[in-house]
Amino acid sequence: MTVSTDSMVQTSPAPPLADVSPRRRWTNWLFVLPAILFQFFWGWYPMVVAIFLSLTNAPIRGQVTFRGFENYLRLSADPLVPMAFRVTLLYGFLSIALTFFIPILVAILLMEMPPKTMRIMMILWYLPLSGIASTLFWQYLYNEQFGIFQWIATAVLGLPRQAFLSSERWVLFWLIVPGILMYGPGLYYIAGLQSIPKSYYEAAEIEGAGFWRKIWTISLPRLRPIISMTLLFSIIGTLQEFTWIDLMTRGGPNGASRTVVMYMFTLLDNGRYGDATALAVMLFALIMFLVLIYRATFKSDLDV
Amino acid sequence: MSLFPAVGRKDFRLRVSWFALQAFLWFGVFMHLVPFYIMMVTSITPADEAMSMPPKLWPSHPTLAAWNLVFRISDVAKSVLSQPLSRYFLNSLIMTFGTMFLSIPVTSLAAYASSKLIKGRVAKPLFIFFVGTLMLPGIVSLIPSFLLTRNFPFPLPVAPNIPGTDIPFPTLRIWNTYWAVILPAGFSAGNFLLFKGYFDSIPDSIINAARVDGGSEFNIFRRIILPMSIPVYAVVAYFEFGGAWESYLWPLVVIQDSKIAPLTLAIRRISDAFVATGTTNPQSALGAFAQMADLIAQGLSWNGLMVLGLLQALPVFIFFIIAREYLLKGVKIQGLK
Amino acid sequence: MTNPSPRISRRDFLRLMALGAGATALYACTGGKGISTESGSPTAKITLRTAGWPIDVPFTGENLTPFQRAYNKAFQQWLDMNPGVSVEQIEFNVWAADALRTAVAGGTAPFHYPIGVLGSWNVPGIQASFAEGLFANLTAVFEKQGILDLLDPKVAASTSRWKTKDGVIFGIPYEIVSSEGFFFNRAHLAEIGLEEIPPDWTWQDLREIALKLTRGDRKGLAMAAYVLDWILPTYGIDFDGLLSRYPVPGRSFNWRWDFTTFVDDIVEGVNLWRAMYLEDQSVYTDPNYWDFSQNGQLAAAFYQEKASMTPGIHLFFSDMANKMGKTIPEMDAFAGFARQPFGPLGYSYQLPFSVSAWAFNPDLKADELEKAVSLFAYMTLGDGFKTIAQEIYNITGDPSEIVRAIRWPFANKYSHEIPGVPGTLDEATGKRYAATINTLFSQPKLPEVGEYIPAEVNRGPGDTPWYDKLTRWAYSTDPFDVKADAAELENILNQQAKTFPSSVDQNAFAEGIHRYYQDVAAYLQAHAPRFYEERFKPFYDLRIKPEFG
Repeated sequence: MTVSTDSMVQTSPAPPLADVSPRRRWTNWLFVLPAILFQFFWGWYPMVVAIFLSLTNAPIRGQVTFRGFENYLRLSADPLVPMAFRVTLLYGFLSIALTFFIPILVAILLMEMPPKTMRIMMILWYLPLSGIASTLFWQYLYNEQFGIFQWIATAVLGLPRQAFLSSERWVLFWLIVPGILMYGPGLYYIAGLQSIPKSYYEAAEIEGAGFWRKIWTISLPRLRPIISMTLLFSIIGTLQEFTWIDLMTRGGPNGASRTVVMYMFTLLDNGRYGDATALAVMLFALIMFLVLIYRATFKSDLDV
Repeated sequence: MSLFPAVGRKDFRLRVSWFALQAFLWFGVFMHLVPFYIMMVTSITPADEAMSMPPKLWPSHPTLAAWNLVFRISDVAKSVLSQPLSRYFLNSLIMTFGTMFLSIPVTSLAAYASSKLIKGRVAKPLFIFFVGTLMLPGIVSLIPSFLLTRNFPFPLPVAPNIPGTDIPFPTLRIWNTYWAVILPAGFSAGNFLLFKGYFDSIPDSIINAARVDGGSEFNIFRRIILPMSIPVYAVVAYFEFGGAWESYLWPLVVIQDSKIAPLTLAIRRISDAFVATGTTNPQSALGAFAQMADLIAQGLSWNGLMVLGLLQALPVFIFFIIAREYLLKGVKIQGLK
Repeated sequence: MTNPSPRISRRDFLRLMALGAGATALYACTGGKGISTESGSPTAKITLRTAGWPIDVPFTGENLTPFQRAYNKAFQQWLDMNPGVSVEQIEFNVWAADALRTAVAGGTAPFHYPIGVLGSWNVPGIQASFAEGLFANLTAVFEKQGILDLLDPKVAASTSRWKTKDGVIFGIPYEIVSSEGFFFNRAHLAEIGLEEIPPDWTWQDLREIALKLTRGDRKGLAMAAYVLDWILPTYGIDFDGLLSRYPVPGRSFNWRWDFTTFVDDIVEGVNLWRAMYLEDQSVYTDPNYWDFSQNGQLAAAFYQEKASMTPGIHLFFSDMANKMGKTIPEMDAFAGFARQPFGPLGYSYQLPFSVSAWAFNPDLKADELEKAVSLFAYMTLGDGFKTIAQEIYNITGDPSEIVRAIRWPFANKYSHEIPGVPGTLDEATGKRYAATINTLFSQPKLPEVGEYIPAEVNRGPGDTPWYDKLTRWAYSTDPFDVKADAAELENILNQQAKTFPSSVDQNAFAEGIHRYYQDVAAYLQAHAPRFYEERFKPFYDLRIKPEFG
């Protein structure tokens, strides 16, 4: 017998809008008014401008000349562009598949620890670490002559000398491994889990639910909206990955780890501002397409 | 311990599971400790040892020189930084807290309204309006946004003239002020999504019960929803703080006056030469290095960089400790039987 | 308790007030705040904004180095001669291309910045950047202040990085930089019986030397990940290589690529490197080592004597001395500098030196520009420089302190003798090292195509596909076929090239190309005759002569 949070709560519909006084309606809109202004001027407005820019030579100085779709045609004829999109999609898929779900599990398990231990663990998990230190750390691990991974492969596992970041086939995987190994609790999930009363779990146990069952029927449904949002967020973010990959491999070897955003920066460095802007718009179109698919698939999860 | 059964704790299988769970968590902690350890060790390693490969577990001649140096960094880095480090620190504080005090109320109130208050045909377009920009690669709007800070509301290098006259439109220029960093962050689509996700999971019945009692929507929000939402506010506040504190690219573009420059700019100026990811042209490596020549002569090296990096990351850590308390505070759900 | 009062709550009211206050504050921030380059009346003060080296604001604090004190003195002299001008420091990294680009676009860049950053460090990029308006036009100011007379004649003659082909000046030369070469450990070299590196060594020679130098923990060579970018060009194969790129007339991009005609040379070069790396195991390297600046891994290996040779520019010499805590004579005894090896047919693509120039902010007004150029030239080329050098000597009594502080040789006329300083700076720099450099810089110079043809604003395909292939060929452990890769590379670049329009005048282009190849032919016949006969001539007849002969 399933236990669900919804059945334990009475839901009555909110009063229909017609009953709400005009004064109340107006103050409701006050809630969103500043947000609308900010989002318009600093969110949509620059974006629309950018789309227009992609139809020009997008100069940083001097005359703007209209080019129509020339930039897009040029990008379509460039063999490096589909390659970048392939890499981006593959990286995004692998990254989400391998690293998205761990923080959920860790957060759930972390809640099991006694409060003092939990506090200590969280402090240790979030120790201040400079970005430089992280970069150096992983560069050392992957060093092909002296790095730890190479040592593990050859001395411990007895394999022949491995190529990590210099392997065209495996580089994306190795770029994701740090994300797998450096797991931690997702703070948003902890926030969500905090709001589940203990009584739910006790009730479930009385009904005979085991460890994983409880997770499946109580913790996860409560986290569902948060997971759903975070997943969407993660997909969008991972498809724009740049800094980490640039630091570790610079897009190599042979472009096997060059994402769309990385190629975009390359174009900027080569003075091709119009092409770079057009490429960004192409990425935007891809992301929007995926988001629409996501919403169509998981319609039930979003209440809008 | 809600997931483990109350009875049968001593059961062997249960103890094994408990052990496995702990081991899993502690391993994750360990993986985070290792780079931290390396950072601390490098910070006390004398300059010439730091780059040896493979790195040593403990330096042969540990030295606190780097730590001492950082206190004098304002003198040492005179050729690079024109203000004392405390000035940059203060600027970072102003920008970060300014951003938080603006963005969190604006975003969370909008999320609440979108979640609970505004229904009907407007709701969905409104949601898309707020969230749609998440799909945009941020880098694309960099230059239009920059131009906006110069000639708000025209994203152009120079304001156009009022049609039919020679007079340019009046414009707002927030460039090179704190506002240039704070205002564009006034609404955060990502945080909107998180807030909304959280508010969505609050049962409507609670709000209906409160409405029956009367009172403005805002009071309902303030008195009932807000205390329930402390965990999500804590998390968002932490990420907002971290994001604003660490932000580099945008301030780089809009801040020029060193008196209002944030800490990230100052520290990056010093560290860029050391972590040069390399170029295929030696001249640019040379040039970056040239500026550091006297820094190096004064003894600044990898160890000093580690210390600076640590100091940069420290406030975020402190904020995390504070936020964590609120995060773990739990929630008081009123009126729920 | 119902409260249907029409008054808005206290909180709402406060928020509205806050909004209003914010809007007012916003308005208060228009105009005035921030530093403007507008100068008011003609007698108003001029403020120059600098981002630091080479024009720093005067140094303050205790314990100034001799250089800093000398610099302050010279700086004050200039200020005294130029009342009404003040110089201010801003936090800006001029070496970061993105930031610089945005700053120049927005008119917020410092008054001087390195040309190469926006020009991608190559001549076509630099010329294109000027055509785009990213650098101020300095021709008039040069004339007025007689700056050309301050330059070393070699530098004044090497113009492709600071002058257009028509003589318009957009940069001030500041340093002469050798092409990349190798520093070598003299003691290690002596162990295998060599006093110096043979000046005409080839990469095959380098392989043998590196192998002999390798013993135990020590590798003969430390090398960065773009090694093939050094080896293959000696066969004439490069992204802009003499034998791998050829001009075409017409309305689309005027260059095409050819990596298949001499693909056997590519195979030979790749095999040479991989033999060194995998069979000889004489190289300290990693696919991740892109940085050979003095703080990187490669330099560290050299300091710790784990590698006998390391890549670098000659200018690093005094920096290395500083880093290792050696005096100049000690450094001279420790390490020497050698140019890159030649290819098997005697060809080298390296210039004897290239000029590192600085550009000025195009938004500066005429009077600001004059003062800016005057300050720059004074401190780096003219009397100010002389004062700095003399003062360093006066304080320390040691001429080698001058070259420790300022890299040698200089772009001005003081490279060898400075009035008031005994001896020559060559001695002060380290006799053997100076001898190497002087020889190197007097080598004949291969013509550069950027000096012959008009600048192309549409920059065409970038070198990304080229570096892609290089990284694969240098390190990949998966099997690959160089011939197939070369064909693919050629295909990618040519496909891209067709999609770019050309912005240059076709007649000027054709004429420039014709002259360029004539000069190249003359140069090669004189200095690399085997290369001329066996490679250049066939390629020229095949690709260039039909259209431009």
